Amino acid sequence: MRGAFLLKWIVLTAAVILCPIILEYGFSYSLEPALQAGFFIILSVSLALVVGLTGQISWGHAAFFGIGAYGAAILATRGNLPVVLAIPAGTLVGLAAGFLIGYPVLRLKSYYLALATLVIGIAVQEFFKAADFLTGGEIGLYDLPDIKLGSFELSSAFSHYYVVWMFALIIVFFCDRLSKSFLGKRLRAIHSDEGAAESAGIDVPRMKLGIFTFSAAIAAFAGTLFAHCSYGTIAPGEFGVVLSIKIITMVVIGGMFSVYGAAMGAVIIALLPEMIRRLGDLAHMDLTQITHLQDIAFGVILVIFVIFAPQGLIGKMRMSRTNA
Amino acid sequence: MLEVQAVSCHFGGLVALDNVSLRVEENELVGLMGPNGAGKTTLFNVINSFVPFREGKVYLKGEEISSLTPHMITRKGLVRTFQDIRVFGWLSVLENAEVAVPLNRNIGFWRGMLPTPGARLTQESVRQRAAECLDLVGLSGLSERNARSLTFGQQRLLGVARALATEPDILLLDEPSSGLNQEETEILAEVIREIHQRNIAIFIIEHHIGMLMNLAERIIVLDRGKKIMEGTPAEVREEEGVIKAYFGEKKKWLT
Repeated sequence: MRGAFLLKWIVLTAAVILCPIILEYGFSYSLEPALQAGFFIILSVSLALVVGLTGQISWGHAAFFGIGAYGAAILATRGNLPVVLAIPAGTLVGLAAGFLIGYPVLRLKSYYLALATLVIGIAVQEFFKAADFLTGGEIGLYDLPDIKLGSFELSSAFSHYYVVWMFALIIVFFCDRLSKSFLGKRLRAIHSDEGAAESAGIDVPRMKLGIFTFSAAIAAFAGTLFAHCSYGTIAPGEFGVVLSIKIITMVVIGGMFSVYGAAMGAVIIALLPEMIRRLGDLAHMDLTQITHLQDIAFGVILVIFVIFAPQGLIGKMRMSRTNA
Repeated sequence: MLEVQAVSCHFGGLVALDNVSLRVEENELVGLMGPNGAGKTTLFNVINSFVPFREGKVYLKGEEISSLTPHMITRKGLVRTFQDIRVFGWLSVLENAEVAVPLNRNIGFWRGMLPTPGARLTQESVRQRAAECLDLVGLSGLSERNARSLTFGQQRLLGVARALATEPDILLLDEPSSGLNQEETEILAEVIREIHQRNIAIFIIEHHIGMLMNLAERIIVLDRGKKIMEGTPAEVREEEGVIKAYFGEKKKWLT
Protein backbone atom coordinates (compact mmCIF):
# COMPACT_ATOMS: atom_id res chain seq x y z
CA MET A 1 0.00 0.00 0.00
CA ARG A 2 2.66 2.41 1.10
CA GLY A 3 5.00 1.27 -1.69
CA ALA A 4 2.28 1.66 -4.31
CA PHE A 5 1.57 5.18 -3.06
CA LEU A 6 5.23 6.11 -3.25
CA LEU A 7 5.55 4.59 -6.72
CA LYS A 8 2.52 6.51 -7.95
CA TRP A 9 4.04 9.78 -6.81
CA ILE A 10 7.47 9.00 -8.24
CA VAL A 11 5.95 8.20 -11.64
CA LEU A 12 3.77 11.31 -11.47
CA THR A 13 6.66 13.58 -10.55
CA ALA A 14 8.86 12.09 -13.27
CA ALA A 15 6.09 12.64 -15.83
CA VAL A 16 5.67 16.23 -14.72
CA ILE A 17 9.42 16.85 -14.98
CA LEU A 18 9.80 15.19 -18.37
CA CYS A 19 6.65 16.55 -20.00
CA PRO A 20 7.94 20.01 -21.06
CA ILE A 21 11.25 18.58 -22.20
CA ILE A 22 9.48 16.12 -24.49
CA LEU A 23 7.02 18.77 -25.69
CA GLU A 24 9.74 21.31 -26.44
CA TYR A 25 12.48 19.13 -27.91
CA GLY A 26 10.42 16.22 -29.18
CA PHE A 27 7.53 18.05 -30.84
CA SER A 28 8.57 21.70 -30.61
CA TYR A 29 5.12 22.23 -29.15
CA SER A 30 4.00 25.18 -27.05
CA LEU A 31 4.12 24.77 -23.26
CA GLU A 32 1.01 26.92 -22.91
CA PRO A 33 -1.60 24.16 -22.42
CA ALA A 34 0.66 22.33 -19.97
CA LEU A 35 1.17 25.49 -17.93
CA GLN A 36 -2.55 26.16 -17.97
CA ALA A 37 -3.21 22.61 -16.76
CA GLY A 38 -1.06 23.40 -13.71
CA PHE A 39 -3.21 26.41 -12.84
CA PHE A 40 -6.38 24.46 -13.48
CA ILE A 41 -5.27 21.68 -11.15
CA ILE A 42 -4.80 24.12 -8.27
CA LEU A 43 -8.19 25.72 -8.95
CA SER A 44 -10.01 22.44 -9.39
CA VAL A 45 -8.54 20.79 -6.30
CA SER A 46 -9.29 23.81 -4.12
CA LEU A 47 -12.91 23.95 -5.30
CA ALA A 48 -13.30 20.18 -4.85
CA LEU A 49 -12.85 20.71 -1.11
CA VAL A 50 -15.89 23.01 -1.04
CA VAL A 51 -18.17 21.57 -3.71
CA GLY A 52 -17.28 17.91 -3.66
CA LEU A 53 -16.30 17.26 -0.08
CA THR A 54 -18.53 19.67 1.81
CA GLY A 55 -21.38 19.87 -0.70
CA GLN A 56 -21.49 23.67 -0.82
CA ILE A 57 -21.91 24.82 -4.40
CA SER A 58 -19.89 27.83 -5.51
CA TRP A 59 -20.16 29.42 -8.95
CA GLY A 60 -17.76 32.21 -8.08
CA HIS A 61 -14.44 30.47 -7.59
CA ALA A 62 -12.78 32.41 -10.42
CA ALA A 63 -13.29 35.58 -8.36
CA PHE A 64 -10.75 34.40 -5.76
CA PHE A 65 -8.30 33.50 -8.54
CA GLY A 66 -8.73 37.06 -9.78
CA ILE A 67 -8.46 38.62 -6.31
CA GLY A 68 -5.16 36.82 -5.76
CA ALA A 69 -3.85 37.84 -9.19
CA TYR A 70 -4.82 41.51 -8.86
CA GLY A 71 -3.83 41.58 -5.20
CA ALA A 72 -0.29 40.44 -5.91
CA ALA A 73 0.06 42.41 -9.15
CA ILE A 74 -1.11 45.68 -7.58
CA LEU A 75 1.16 45.23 -4.55
CA ALA A 76 4.11 44.37 -6.81
CA THR A 77 3.63 47.19 -9.32
CA ARG A 78 2.01 50.07 -7.43
CA GLY A 79 3.30 49.01 -4.02
CA ASN A 80 6.77 48.10 -5.26
CA LEU A 81 6.72 44.94 -3.18
CA PRO A 82 9.20 42.25 -4.27
CA VAL A 83 7.32 39.44 -6.04
CA VAL A 84 8.32 36.83 -3.46
CA LEU A 85 6.44 38.94 -0.90
CA ALA A 86 3.61 39.98 -3.22
CA ILE A 87 2.70 36.30 -3.71
CA PRO A 88 2.02 35.49 -0.03
CA ALA A 89 0.44 38.94 0.40
CA GLY A 90 -1.93 38.33 -2.53
CA THR A 91 -2.77 34.94 -1.06
CA LEU A 92 -3.65 36.62 2.24
CA VAL A 93 -5.90 39.07 0.41
CA GLY A 94 -7.72 36.07 -1.10
CA LEU A 95 -7.95 34.44 2.31
CA ALA A 96 -9.51 37.58 3.78
CA ALA A 97 -11.91 37.86 0.83
CA GLY A 98 -12.88 34.21 1.26
CA PHE A 99 -13.66 34.80 4.92
CA LEU A 100 -15.61 38.02 4.35
CA ILE A 101 -17.63 36.58 1.47
CA GLY A 102 -18.08 33.15 3.02
CA TYR A 103 -19.29 34.46 6.36
CA PRO A 104 -22.64 35.79 5.11
CA VAL A 105 -23.03 33.61 2.02
CA LEU A 106 -22.55 30.18 3.60
CA ARG A 107 -25.71 30.60 5.65
CA LEU A 108 -27.53 30.04 2.37
CA LYS A 109 -28.23 26.61 0.94
CA SER A 110 -28.56 24.98 -2.48
CA TYR A 111 -29.81 27.34 -5.23
CA TYR A 112 -29.70 30.40 -3.00
CA LEU A 113 -26.04 29.71 -2.36
CA ALA A 114 -25.47 29.03 -6.08
CA LEU A 115 -27.12 32.33 -6.98
CA ALA A 116 -25.26 34.34 -4.34
CA THR A 117 -21.84 32.98 -5.34
CA LEU A 118 -22.63 33.54 -9.02
CA VAL A 119 -23.58 37.17 -8.39
CA ILE A 120 -20.52 37.78 -6.22
CA GLY A 121 -18.35 36.29 -8.95
CA ILE A 122 -19.82 38.70 -11.49
CA ALA A 123 -19.59 41.64 -9.09
CA VAL A 124 -15.90 41.01 -8.42
CA GLN A 125 -15.21 40.84 -12.15
CA GLU A 126 -17.12 44.10 -12.69
CA PHE A 127 -15.02 45.65 -9.96
CA PHE A 128 -11.83 44.65 -11.81
CA LYS A 129 -13.24 46.33 -14.93
CA ALA A 130 -14.43 49.48 -13.17
CA ALA A 131 -11.63 50.27 -10.69
CA ASP A 132 -9.32 51.74 -13.35
CA PHE A 133 -6.97 53.44 -10.91
CA LEU A 134 -6.16 50.10 -9.26
CA THR A 135 -6.73 47.40 -11.82
CA GLY A 136 -6.15 49.11 -15.15
CA GLY A 137 -9.78 48.64 -16.14
CA GLU A 138 -10.72 46.51 -19.14
CA ILE A 139 -7.12 46.33 -20.36
CA GLY A 140 -5.89 45.07 -17.03
CA LEU A 141 -2.28 45.04 -15.85
CA TYR A 142 0.70 44.08 -17.96
CA ASP A 143 4.49 43.85 -17.84
CA LEU A 144 4.17 42.25 -14.43
CA PRO A 145 7.52 41.26 -12.92
CA ASP A 146 8.60 37.62 -12.71
CA ILE A 147 9.65 35.87 -9.52
CA LYS A 148 13.22 36.78 -8.57
CA LEU A 149 15.29 34.55 -6.34
CA GLY A 150 18.37 36.60 -5.53
CA SER A 151 19.78 37.62 -8.90
CA PHE A 152 18.07 34.73 -10.64
CA GLU A 153 14.88 35.59 -12.50
CA LEU A 154 12.31 32.90 -13.28
CA SER A 155 11.29 34.27 -16.63
CA SER A 156 11.44 31.37 -19.08
CA ALA A 157 8.42 29.28 -20.02
CA PHE A 158 10.22 26.28 -18.52
CA SER A 159 10.68 27.91 -15.12
CA HIS A 160 7.05 29.07 -15.10
CA TYR A 161 5.92 25.54 -15.82
CA TYR A 162 8.09 23.98 -13.12
CA VAL A 163 7.14 26.46 -10.42
CA VAL A 164 3.40 26.15 -11.11
CA TRP A 165 3.47 22.37 -11.35
CA MET A 166 5.61 22.01 -8.24
CA PHE A 167 2.99 23.91 -6.26
CA ALA A 168 0.19 22.02 -8.01
CA LEU A 169 1.67 18.67 -6.91
CA ILE A 170 2.23 19.92 -3.35
CA ILE A 171 -1.35 21.19 -3.16
CA VAL A 172 -2.77 17.93 -4.57
CA PHE A 173 -0.75 15.97 -2.03
CA PHE A 174 -1.89 17.94 1.01
CA CYS A 175 -5.49 18.39 -0.09
CA ASP A 176 -5.72 14.66 -0.66
CA ARG A 177 -4.44 14.05 2.86
CA LEU A 178 -6.91 16.57 4.20
CA SER A 179 -9.85 15.00 2.38
CA LYS A 180 -9.04 11.58 3.81
CA SER A 181 -8.45 12.78 7.38
CA PHE A 182 -11.10 13.05 10.08
CA LEU A 183 -11.53 16.66 9.07
CA GLY A 184 -12.44 15.46 5.59
CA LYS A 185 -14.85 12.93 7.04
CA ARG A 186 -16.55 15.62 9.11
CA LEU A 187 -16.92 17.69 5.95
CA ARG A 188 -18.49 14.72 4.17
CA ALA A 189 -20.84 14.33 7.12
CA ILE A 190 -21.88 17.96 6.56
CA HIS A 191 -22.37 17.17 2.87
CA SER A 192 -24.64 14.26 3.84
CA ASP A 193 -26.86 16.06 6.35
CA GLU A 194 -26.08 19.37 8.05
CA GLY A 195 -28.62 18.97 10.85
CA ALA A 196 -27.47 15.48 11.73
CA ALA A 197 -23.85 16.68 11.61
CA GLU A 198 -24.68 19.43 14.11
CA SER A 199 -26.29 16.94 16.44
CA ALA A 200 -23.22 14.71 16.14
CA GLY A 201 -21.25 17.56 17.72
CA ILE A 202 -19.82 19.06 14.52
CA ASP A 203 -19.63 22.85 14.40
CA VAL A 204 -21.15 23.09 10.92
CA PRO A 205 -20.99 26.88 10.28
CA ARG A 206 -17.39 27.08 11.44
CA MET A 207 -16.28 24.07 9.39
CA LYS A 208 -17.98 25.40 6.25
CA LEU A 209 -16.44 28.84 6.68
CA GLY A 210 -13.02 27.32 7.41
CA ILE A 211 -12.90 25.17 4.30
CA PHE A 212 -14.35 27.93 2.11
CA THR A 213 -11.70 30.37 3.33
CA PHE A 214 -8.91 27.84 2.82
CA SER A 215 -10.18 27.06 -0.65
CA ALA A 216 -10.35 30.77 -1.53
CA ALA A 217 -6.78 31.23 -0.30
CA ILE A 218 -5.51 28.41 -2.53
CA ALA A 219 -7.34 29.83 -5.54
CA ALA A 220 -5.89 33.25 -4.75
CA PHE A 221 -2.44 31.70 -4.51
CA ALA A 222 -2.94 30.27 -8.00
CA GLY A 223 -3.90 33.80 -9.05
CA THR A 224 -0.69 35.28 -7.67
CA LEU A 225 1.29 32.74 -9.70
CA PHE A 226 -0.84 33.53 -12.73
CA ALA A 227 0.19 37.17 -12.41
CA HIS A 228 3.87 36.61 -11.76
CA CYS A 229 4.71 33.21 -13.12
CA SER A 230 2.95 33.16 -16.48
CA TYR A 231 2.72 35.75 -19.25
CA GLY A 232 2.87 38.77 -17.02
CA THR A 233 -0.52 40.13 -18.04
CA ILE A 234 -3.87 39.90 -16.34
CA ALA A 235 -7.22 41.22 -17.59
CA PRO A 236 -10.71 41.07 -16.06
CA GLY A 237 -12.02 38.88 -18.88
CA GLU A 238 -9.99 35.97 -17.56
CA PHE A 239 -11.68 35.88 -14.15
CA GLY A 240 -15.32 35.58 -15.12
CA VAL A 241 -18.17 33.15 -14.87
CA VAL A 242 -16.85 31.10 -17.80
CA LEU A 243 -13.78 30.17 -15.77
CA SER A 244 -15.94 29.35 -12.73
CA ILE A 245 -18.02 27.03 -14.88
CA LYS A 246 -14.87 25.41 -16.22
CA ILE A 247 -13.60 24.78 -12.69
CA ILE A 248 -16.90 23.18 -11.63
CA THR A 249 -16.77 21.03 -14.78
CA MET A 250 -13.31 19.80 -13.78
CA VAL A 251 -14.54 18.83 -10.30
CA VAL A 252 -17.60 17.04 -11.69
CA ILE A 253 -15.66 15.19 -14.39
CA GLY A 254 -13.12 13.92 -11.90
CA GLY A 255 -15.57 12.79 -9.27
CA MET A 256 -16.81 14.95 -6.45
CA PHE A 257 -15.00 13.36 -3.53
CA SER A 258 -11.64 12.66 -5.02
CA VAL A 259 -8.86 15.21 -5.03
CA TYR A 260 -6.99 13.13 -7.62
CA GLY A 261 -10.17 13.08 -9.70
CA ALA A 262 -10.42 16.85 -9.57
CA ALA A 263 -6.80 17.09 -10.73
CA MET A 264 -7.52 14.68 -13.58
CA GLY A 265 -10.58 16.68 -14.61
CA ALA A 266 -8.40 19.79 -14.67
CA VAL A 267 -5.91 18.20 -17.06
CA ILE A 268 -8.71 17.08 -19.37
CA ILE A 269 -10.35 20.51 -19.43
CA ALA A 270 -6.98 22.16 -20.03
CA LEU A 271 -6.19 19.94 -23.01
CA LEU A 272 -9.71 19.91 -24.47
CA PRO A 273 -9.54 23.32 -26.24
CA GLU A 274 -6.29 22.25 -27.86
CA MET A 275 -7.90 19.07 -29.18
CA ILE A 276 -10.94 20.99 -30.40
CA ARG A 277 -8.71 23.53 -32.08
CA ARG A 278 -7.03 20.73 -34.01
CA LEU A 279 -10.41 19.32 -35.00
CA GLY A 280 -11.58 22.80 -36.05
CA ASP A 281 -8.46 23.30 -38.13
CA LEU A 282 -9.16 20.06 -39.94
CA ALA A 283 -12.73 21.28 -40.65
CA HIS A 284 -11.36 24.66 -41.88
CA MET A 285 -13.20 26.61 -39.16
CA ASP A 286 -12.14 30.15 -38.30
CA LEU A 287 -11.03 31.24 -34.84
CA THR A 288 -14.44 32.55 -33.64
CA GLN A 289 -16.15 29.35 -34.67
CA ILE A 290 -13.53 27.32 -32.84
CA THR A 291 -13.96 29.44 -29.69
CA HIS A 292 -17.71 28.89 -29.79
CA LEU A 293 -17.20 25.19 -30.32
CA GLN A 294 -14.92 25.09 -27.28
CA ASP A 295 -17.52 26.79 -25.08
CA ILE A 296 -20.24 24.44 -26.30
CA ALA A 297 -18.00 21.45 -25.61
CA PHE A 298 -17.67 22.38 -21.91
CA GLY A 299 -21.41 22.59 -21.50
CA VAL A 300 -21.99 19.31 -23.33
CA ILE A 301 -19.33 17.51 -21.30
CA LEU A 302 -20.72 18.82 -18.02
CA VAL A 303 -24.23 17.66 -18.92
CA ILE A 304 -23.02 14.27 -20.13
CA PHE A 305 -21.13 13.65 -16.92
CA VAL A 306 -23.92 14.84 -14.66
CA ILE A 307 -26.36 12.49 -16.39
CA PHE A 308 -24.25 9.42 -17.11
CA ALA A 309 -21.43 9.51 -14.60
CA PRO A 310 -22.34 11.70 -11.62
CA GLN A 311 -19.71 9.82 -9.63
CA GLY A 312 -17.07 11.10 -12.07
CA LEU A 313 -14.17 9.37 -13.76
CA ILE A 314 -12.61 8.18 -10.50
CA GLY A 315 -15.96 6.80 -9.38
CA LYS A 316 -16.42 5.00 -12.70
CA MET A 317 -12.95 3.52 -12.47
CA ARG A 318 -13.55 2.29 -8.92
CA MET A 319 -16.84 0.73 -9.94
CA SER A 320 -15.38 -1.15 -12.87
CA ARG A 321 -12.59 -2.36 -10.60
CA THR A 322 -14.98 -3.73 -7.99
CA ASN A 323 -17.17 -5.30 -10.66
CA ALA A 324 -14.22 -7.05 -12.27
CA MET B 1 -29.81 15.91 34.53
CA LEU B 2 -32.29 17.53 32.15
CA GLU B 3 -34.84 20.10 33.19
CA VAL B 4 -37.40 21.73 30.92
CA GLN B 5 -39.02 24.77 32.52
CA ALA B 6 -42.32 26.19 31.28
CA VAL B 7 -41.44 25.92 27.61
CA SER B 8 -43.91 27.17 25.02
CA CYS B 9 -43.40 27.07 21.28
CA HIS B 10 -45.60 28.53 18.55
CA PHE B 11 -45.50 28.11 14.80
CA GLY B 12 -47.52 31.02 13.51
CA GLY B 13 -50.88 30.61 15.20
CA LEU B 14 -50.32 26.95 16.04
CA VAL B 15 -49.37 26.19 19.62
CA ALA B 16 -46.93 23.28 19.39
CA LEU B 17 -45.89 23.30 23.04
CA ASP B 18 -47.86 24.95 25.80
CA ASN B 19 -46.10 25.61 29.09
CA VAL B 20 -44.37 22.22 29.32
CA SER B 21 -42.18 21.45 32.32
CA LEU B 22 -40.45 18.18 33.05
CA ARG B 23 -37.33 16.62 34.50
CA VAL B 24 -35.20 13.63 33.63
CA GLU B 25 -32.93 12.53 36.46
CA GLU B 26 -29.51 10.95 36.21
CA ASN B 27 -29.53 7.39 34.87
CA GLU B 28 -33.29 7.53 34.50
CA LEU B 29 -35.19 6.01 31.58
CA VAL B 30 -38.19 8.21 30.85
CA GLY B 31 -40.76 7.63 28.14
CA LEU B 32 -42.66 10.31 26.27
CA MET B 33 -45.93 9.37 24.63
CA GLY B 34 -48.90 11.01 23.04
CA PRO B 35 -50.87 10.96 19.81
CA ASN B 36 -49.53 12.23 16.50
CA GLY B 37 -49.08 15.97 16.52
CA ALA B 38 -48.90 16.15 20.31
CA GLY B 39 -45.58 18.02 20.11
CA LYS B 40 -43.23 15.20 21.07
CA THR B 41 -40.67 15.76 18.33
CA THR B 42 -41.05 19.52 18.71
CA LEU B 43 -40.09 19.10 22.36
CA PHE B 44 -36.91 17.28 21.30
CA ASN B 45 -36.21 19.97 18.71
CA VAL B 46 -36.60 22.61 21.40
CA ILE B 47 -34.34 20.76 23.85
CA ASN B 48 -31.46 20.42 21.39
CA SER B 49 -32.03 23.90 19.89
CA PHE B 50 -33.16 22.82 16.44
CA VAL B 51 -36.20 25.03 16.89
CA PRO B 52 -35.92 28.47 18.43
CA PHE B 53 -38.35 29.26 21.21
CA ARG B 54 -38.93 32.34 23.27
CA GLU B 55 -40.73 31.21 26.36
CA GLY B 56 -39.26 28.93 28.99
CA LYS B 57 -35.82 27.53 29.74
CA VAL B 58 -33.94 24.28 29.34
CA TYR B 59 -31.24 23.21 31.79
CA LEU B 60 -28.69 20.45 31.38
CA LYS B 61 -26.81 19.43 34.52
CA GLY B 62 -27.90 22.71 36.09
CA GLU B 63 -26.60 24.84 33.23
CA GLU B 64 -28.95 26.75 30.96
CA ILE B 65 -28.63 25.50 27.39
CA SER B 66 -31.55 27.33 25.76
CA SER B 67 -29.33 29.72 23.81
CA LEU B 68 -26.69 27.20 22.72
CA THR B 69 -26.42 25.76 19.21
CA PRO B 70 -27.09 22.03 18.67
CA HIS B 71 -23.43 21.01 18.39
CA MET B 72 -22.61 22.79 21.66
CA ILE B 73 -25.43 20.94 23.39
CA THR B 74 -24.14 17.64 22.02
CA ARG B 75 -20.67 18.48 23.32
CA LYS B 76 -22.18 19.16 26.74
CA GLY B 77 -23.54 15.64 26.87
CA LEU B 78 -27.06 15.70 25.42
CA VAL B 79 -27.58 13.99 22.07
CA ARG B 80 -30.66 13.02 20.09
CA THR B 81 -31.56 10.64 17.28
CA PHE B 82 -34.02 11.34 14.49
CA GLN B 83 -37.34 9.81 13.62
CA ASP B 84 -36.33 9.84 9.94
CA ILE B 85 -32.90 8.36 10.79
CA ARG B 86 -30.59 10.70 8.81
CA VAL B 87 -27.39 8.64 8.56
CA PHE B 88 -24.43 10.21 6.75
CA GLY B 89 -24.91 8.71 3.29
CA TRP B 90 -21.50 9.80 2.01
CA LEU B 91 -19.67 7.93 4.76
CA SER B 92 -19.12 4.29 5.65
CA VAL B 93 -20.82 2.74 8.66
CA LEU B 94 -17.68 3.03 10.79
CA GLU B 95 -17.06 6.61 9.64
CA ASN B 96 -20.60 7.55 10.66
CA ALA B 97 -19.66 6.72 14.23
CA GLU B 98 -16.10 8.07 13.96
CA VAL B 99 -17.09 11.64 13.11
CA ALA B 100 -19.26 11.71 16.24
CA VAL B 101 -16.50 10.64 18.65
CA PRO B 102 -15.40 13.84 20.45
CA LEU B 103 -11.72 12.97 20.15
CA ASN B 104 -11.96 13.05 16.32
CA ARG B 105 -12.21 16.83 16.48
CA ASN B 106 -8.59 16.90 17.67
CA ILE B 107 -7.69 16.21 14.06
CA GLY B 108 -8.04 19.71 12.68
CA PHE B 109 -6.57 21.42 9.74
CA TRP B 110 -2.84 20.97 10.23
CA ARG B 111 -2.97 17.53 11.79
CA GLY B 112 -5.26 16.47 8.97
CA MET B 113 -2.64 17.37 6.38
CA LEU B 114 0.43 16.27 8.34
CA PRO B 115 -0.14 12.91 9.98
CA THR B 116 2.13 13.22 13.00
CA PRO B 117 2.59 10.22 15.33
CA GLY B 118 0.21 11.93 17.76
CA ALA B 119 -2.43 12.23 15.06
CA ARG B 120 -2.07 8.52 14.25
CA LEU B 121 -2.61 7.61 17.88
CA THR B 122 -5.68 9.81 18.03
CA GLN B 123 -6.95 8.17 14.87
CA GLU B 124 -6.52 4.73 16.38
CA SER B 125 -8.39 5.54 19.58
CA VAL B 126 -11.22 7.25 17.66
CA ARG B 127 -11.55 4.17 15.47
CA GLN B 128 -11.59 1.93 18.51
CA ARG B 129 -14.20 4.02 20.27
CA ALA B 130 -16.40 4.06 17.14
CA ALA B 131 -16.02 0.30 16.72
CA GLU B 132 -17.17 -0.22 20.33
CA CYS B 133 -20.34 1.75 19.62
CA LEU B 134 -21.04 -0.30 16.49
CA ASP B 135 -20.39 -3.43 18.48
CA LEU B 136 -22.96 -2.42 21.08
CA VAL B 137 -25.71 -2.12 18.46
CA GLY B 138 -24.50 -5.23 16.64
CA LEU B 139 -23.28 -3.60 13.42
CA SER B 140 -19.57 -4.33 13.73
CA GLY B 141 -19.70 -6.81 10.86
CA LEU B 142 -20.85 -4.08 8.48
CA SER B 143 -18.39 -1.33 9.37
CA GLU B 144 -16.88 -0.98 5.89
CA ARG B 145 -20.23 -0.81 4.10
CA ASN B 146 -21.68 2.44 2.86
CA ALA B 147 -24.26 3.71 5.33
CA ARG B 148 -26.91 4.01 2.62
CA SER B 149 -26.59 0.34 1.71
CA LEU B 150 -27.89 -0.73 5.13
CA THR B 151 -31.47 -1.84 5.68
CA PHE B 152 -33.89 0.53 7.36
CA GLY B 153 -33.54 -1.21 10.71
CA GLN B 154 -29.75 -1.24 10.49
CA GLN B 155 -29.69 2.46 9.66
CA ARG B 156 -31.76 3.12 12.75
CA LEU B 157 -29.31 1.19 14.90
CA LEU B 158 -26.49 3.12 13.24
CA GLY B 159 -28.24 6.33 14.27
CA VAL B 160 -28.18 5.10 17.86
CA ALA B 161 -24.52 4.09 17.58
CA ARG B 162 -23.64 7.51 16.18
CA ALA B 163 -25.44 9.23 19.06
CA LEU B 164 -23.66 6.96 21.52
CA ALA B 165 -20.29 7.81 19.96
CA THR B 166 -20.68 11.41 21.12
CA GLU B 167 -20.24 10.07 24.67
CA PRO B 168 -23.50 11.47 26.03
CA ASP B 169 -24.84 11.65 29.58
CA ILE B 170 -28.37 11.70 28.26
CA LEU B 171 -29.72 10.24 25.04
CA LEU B 172 -32.95 11.41 23.40
CA LEU B 173 -34.44 8.74 21.14
CA ASP B 174 -37.13 9.86 18.70
CA GLU B 175 -39.38 6.88 17.91
CA PRO B 176 -36.55 4.40 17.53
CA SER B 177 -38.83 1.48 16.74
CA SER B 178 -40.95 3.07 14.00
CA GLY B 179 -40.70 1.11 10.79
CA LEU B 180 -38.95 -1.82 12.43
CA ASN B 181 -40.24 -5.41 12.40
CA GLN B 182 -40.80 -7.48 15.52
CA GLU B 183 -37.33 -8.97 15.58
CA GLU B 184 -35.61 -5.64 15.00
CA THR B 185 -37.71 -4.03 17.71
CA GLU B 186 -36.57 -6.67 20.19
CA ILE B 187 -32.94 -6.09 19.26
CA LEU B 188 -33.49 -2.37 19.71
CA ALA B 189 -35.06 -2.79 23.15
CA GLU B 190 -32.07 -4.87 24.16
CA VAL B 191 -29.69 -2.18 22.88
CA ILE B 192 -31.57 0.49 24.82
CA ARG B 193 -31.34 -1.56 28.02
CA GLU B 194 -27.64 -2.06 27.43
CA ILE B 195 -27.09 1.68 26.96
CA HIS B 196 -29.07 2.43 30.09
CA GLN B 197 -26.87 0.07 32.06
CA ARG B 198 -23.90 2.25 31.16
CA ASN B 199 -25.29 5.06 33.33
CA ILE B 200 -26.68 7.04 30.43
CA ALA B 201 -30.06 8.67 31.04
CA ILE B 202 -32.58 8.01 28.28
CA PHE B 203 -35.57 10.07 27.21
CA ILE B 204 -37.52 8.18 24.59
CA ILE B 205 -40.46 8.98 22.33
CA GLU B 206 -42.19 5.74 21.42
CA HIS B 207 -45.35 4.67 19.66
CA HIS B 208 -44.75 1.04 20.49
CA ILE B 209 -46.55 1.21 23.82
CA GLY B 210 -45.73 -2.33 24.87
CA MET B 211 -42.03 -1.66 24.50
CA LEU B 212 -42.29 1.64 26.34
CA MET B 213 -44.16 0.09 29.26
CA ASN B 214 -41.47 -2.54 29.60
CA LEU B 215 -38.52 -0.18 29.36
CA ALA B 216 -39.48 3.07 31.02
CA GLU B 217 -39.25 3.85 34.70
CA ARG B 218 -41.50 6.86 34.29
CA ILE B 219 -43.77 8.01 31.48
CA ILE B 220 -44.84 11.50 30.48
CA VAL B 221 -47.92 11.93 28.32
CA LEU B 222 -48.23 14.88 25.98
CA ASP B 223 -51.32 15.98 24.08
CA ARG B 224 -51.83 19.06 21.93
CA GLY B 225 -48.68 20.58 23.34
CA LYS B 226 -49.66 20.09 26.97
CA LYS B 227 -48.34 17.66 29.52
CA ILE B 228 -51.46 15.85 30.65
CA MET B 229 -50.01 13.12 32.81
CA GLU B 230 -46.85 11.78 34.36
CA GLY B 231 -46.31 8.57 36.31
CA THR B 232 -44.99 5.04 36.40
CA PRO B 233 -45.99 2.70 33.56
CA ALA B 234 -48.49 1.07 35.92
CA GLU B 235 -50.08 4.39 36.77
CA VAL B 236 -50.35 5.40 33.13
CA ARG B 237 -51.83 2.03 32.26
CA GLU B 238 -54.51 2.49 34.86
CA GLU B 239 -55.43 5.97 33.81
CA GLU B 240 -58.41 5.01 31.68
CA GLY B 241 -58.97 8.55 30.51
CA VAL B 242 -55.53 8.79 28.98
CA ILE B 243 -55.85 5.47 27.31
CA LYS B 244 -59.31 6.02 25.90
CA ALA B 245 -58.67 9.52 24.76
CA TYR B 246 -55.35 9.00 23.11
CA PHE B 247 -54.88 5.38 22.27
CA GLY B 248 -58.37 4.15 21.47
CA GLU B 249 -60.71 1.81 23.29
CA LYS B 250 -58.81 -1.39 22.72
CA LYS B 251 -56.76 -2.10 25.77
CA LYS B 252 -54.97 -5.02 24.15
CA TRP B 253 -52.44 -2.51 22.83
CA LEU B 254 -51.06 -2.19 26.27
CA THR B 255 -50.51 -5.78 27.10
